Amino acid sequence: MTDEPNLPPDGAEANDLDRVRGFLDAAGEDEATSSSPDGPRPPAPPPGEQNLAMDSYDRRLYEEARAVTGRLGDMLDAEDTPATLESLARDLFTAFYKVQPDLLPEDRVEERPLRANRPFLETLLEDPKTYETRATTVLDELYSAAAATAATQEYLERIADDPALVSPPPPDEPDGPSAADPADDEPGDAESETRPETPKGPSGRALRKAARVVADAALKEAEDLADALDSWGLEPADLKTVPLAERLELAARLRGPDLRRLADLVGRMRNLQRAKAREKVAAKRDEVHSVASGRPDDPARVLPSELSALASKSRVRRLDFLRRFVEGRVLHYELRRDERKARGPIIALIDASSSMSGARMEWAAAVGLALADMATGRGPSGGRSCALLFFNTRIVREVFFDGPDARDPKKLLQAATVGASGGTEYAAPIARGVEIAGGAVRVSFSGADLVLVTDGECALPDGFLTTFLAEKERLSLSLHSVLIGRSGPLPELARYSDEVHALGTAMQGARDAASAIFERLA
Amino acid sequence: MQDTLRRELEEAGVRASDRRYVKALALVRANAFLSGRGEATEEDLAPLAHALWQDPSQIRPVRKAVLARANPYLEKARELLDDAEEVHKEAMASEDANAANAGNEANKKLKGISDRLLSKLAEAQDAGRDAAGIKDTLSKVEEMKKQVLKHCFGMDF
Repeated sequence: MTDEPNLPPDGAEANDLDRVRGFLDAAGEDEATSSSPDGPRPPAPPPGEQNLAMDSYDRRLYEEARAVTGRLGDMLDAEDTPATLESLARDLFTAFYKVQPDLLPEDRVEERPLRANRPFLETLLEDPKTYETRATTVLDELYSAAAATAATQEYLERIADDPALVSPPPPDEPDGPSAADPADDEPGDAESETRPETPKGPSGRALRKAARVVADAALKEAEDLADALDSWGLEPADLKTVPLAERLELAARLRGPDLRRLADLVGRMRNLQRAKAREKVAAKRDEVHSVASGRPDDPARVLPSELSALASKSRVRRLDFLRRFVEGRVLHYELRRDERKARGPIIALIDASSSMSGARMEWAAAVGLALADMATGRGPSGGRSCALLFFNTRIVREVFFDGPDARDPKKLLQAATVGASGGTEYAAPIARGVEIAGGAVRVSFSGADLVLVTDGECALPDGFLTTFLAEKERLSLSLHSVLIGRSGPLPELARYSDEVHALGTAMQGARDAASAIFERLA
Repeated sequence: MQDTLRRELEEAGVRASDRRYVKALALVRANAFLSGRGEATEEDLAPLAHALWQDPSQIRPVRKAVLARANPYLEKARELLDDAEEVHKEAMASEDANAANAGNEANKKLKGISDRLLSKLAEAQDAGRDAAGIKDTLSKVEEMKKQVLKHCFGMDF
């Protein structure tokens, strides 16, 4: 569109071309090396601060992680933070993230981070625990950020206990690593000066010990995170589309103290549910139910009497068998394929009244989340939709696990953070459940099975009950109810439920009830 | 509009003459006209990214400042493209012994960059901004991904 503006106002064209060529030659190399005599250089990351090679995308990931990881930000922004800690945190992130962390040549690293961090990083990279940690963290920014944060924190604690771990700065830099102001950490200021005799660094043994403890902390953090996400039924693919910042926040919340107990319970429920699903698949293997004439898919299914012909000394019998086999006229066992009956969607109605607070609510939410995991999972019972409806006297929250974002981890949080309050009224949730199961809200929920978890029986108005039973019949719905804290006959729920499970006040029989529900709906 | 941009550029150390700014106005007007607008908007500042730098070292800061005003989504996309170019270059420079590792890392990163570009594309479209530049960036990154797979794993598409 314009030819003129690129020409310098006062420069000769030849000089300009030389500069462009010089720029192009230097492009991709360290930007700091491209000279530009006219005008200042564009803002670029401080050169030479890192001991490990890091590209701009690595840097972007680290900065995003730093911005949302409060713990890391607090450590690095604290007043008494060593000046070289930010550089170390970046290197730690790189060490855990990159497929092959490469130490840069020493002459490409500024003196201060080189002296303070290099020996430790070299030792850390060789530690077996680091290898173990990297099995989880490589190319996963979430795990790398978590591991780097834990490692940085542990390192800070180590150097607080044993300041000798950090090589002291050269004598011309009086600020020790524990007293330096990060703002003073101007890149390149040490390079132009003659390096005085360097003080002695930490011993190899002390470094190895510190590196082991730091790597251990990183490993524990990465494993804890993996366990937590696993408890919630989250897999790397489920988190792929969530931006890193949100993923980190989500991971922090899912691992928070308030949700940790629930996470454990959800994990146990999920294991139970998966075990039930496996049992069911195992029980549904093909079985022999008859004998037929034809050619079986598997020659091993040919009847022994037929096979005896094949083993006969008589050539005629052998050829006769082969002829009949080719023609598809041999007797063989016929298998019955017990096709898995396609299960429909699941709608769990979970009582969130005040009496449910505590263990009851946690159990109910865990069952709901395990059902959601089963319905939306990749296993044999997966590929279905699931909705969790929390209610008291009205619908408090609806969480739909369906469509392409069925396994969106944010939905887990929505379902896991419902507070218990108010009284109990069944009519509203059941009406809503029937409405959803009728396909009125989302088509994917047509013909859903209903699961009701509650701790207080309440009567449905007769008119409502008649309508519900008619709709239940029309839509072929099934309703499985779980009543917590009751024993003895259950006349009310039994009137309209296909089955009712009663749990004791101390949740006795909870496992059996969960097991029965998973078995029914798997 | 242009004054604000000028101030921002000066803060970034890029000083262009009055004459250049006056001449550049024609580009803004032309862009508005070619986009079917009777009046220039911030979006029409985009061509100034090619007109206000005097030294190659100023290309990036000028582009950043101009696009931040004209099309912030495109600016983010260009930043991601810069990242992708660096990742791509590193992988393409890898030698046989290291090619699988480099290819694995670059492929993962380029996928991440593509995902980010897709989300920027959606944001730009939702905001009614011109998304052609982001689409172009996306196809460049996809092309880089193919080249990396070919170079590092011998996979040809």
